[in-house]
Amino acid sequence: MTTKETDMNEEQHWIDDITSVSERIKSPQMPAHLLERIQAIPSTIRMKVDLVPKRTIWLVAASIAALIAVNIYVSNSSVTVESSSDSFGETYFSHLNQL
Amino acid sequence: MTEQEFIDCAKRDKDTAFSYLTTAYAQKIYGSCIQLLRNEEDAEDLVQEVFVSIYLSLDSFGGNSKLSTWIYAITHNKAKEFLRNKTRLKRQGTLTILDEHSEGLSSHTINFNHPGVQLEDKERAAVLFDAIDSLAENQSRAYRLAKIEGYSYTEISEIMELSVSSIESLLFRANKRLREILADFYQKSKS
Repeated sequence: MTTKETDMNEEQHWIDDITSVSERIKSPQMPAHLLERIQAIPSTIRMKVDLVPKRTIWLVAASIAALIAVNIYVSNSSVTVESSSDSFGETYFSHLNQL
Repeated sequence: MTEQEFIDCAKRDKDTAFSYLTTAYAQKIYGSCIQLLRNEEDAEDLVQEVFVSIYLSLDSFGGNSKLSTWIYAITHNKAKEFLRNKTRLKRQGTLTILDEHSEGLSSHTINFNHPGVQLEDKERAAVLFDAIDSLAENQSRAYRLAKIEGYSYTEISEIMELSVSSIESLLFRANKRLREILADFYQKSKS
């Protein structure tokens, strides 16, 4: 047997050795405490929903609405300032042209 | 319970439907999570995340796909998300168990703590899992389901929504590619 053939055999043997591991992997049993936690998910989720009082939800909604209103007000005011500065510029340049 | 009975049950009483799922699928999902993450603690967290997701989206299951396909898709997506977050956080204490042949096989280090792997197989299993991760996604999924999780070809075809013959050819290609990856790795480690 040549060195190359020996190397090839060694390589194939190593690959077989690695792939054969899959035959020995066992599916582990799920721990009992995990099953209990999973079965408690519906009640935990319901409890979390109940934990947030309606008053807090309305307060948050009102805050968001107020924030949006302030944003709209501020953006409208800036548009007015821009338009007034534009008209000032026009007057100034037309005055220069006349000179 | 048939799929239609399950859908009707989920519409009528979400909790009963969920209870049925925990009895029928919890063990399988746990097995999948262990194989996908190879870490007991992470798998427990993931199983919980998967079941929370299942409970919250029970209403949206309309029977367009098989129940097993739907559940496996949720598990797979949640596992991917979990691994992405874990990689991003780069938690401390990450242990890379790789033998002298595994150097450079994959940059993905994992805290290998698979309860189904015997101690003497741990290093070889780490190399094998890294090689499986290097396969194309479909091949890797099919190989893991068939060879590691022990699903039948029919079950895999239902989960992956492919024909049995497609699964057979996918596994043939996966086997071939896996051996190529391992051979390449063996050569690199030798030189």
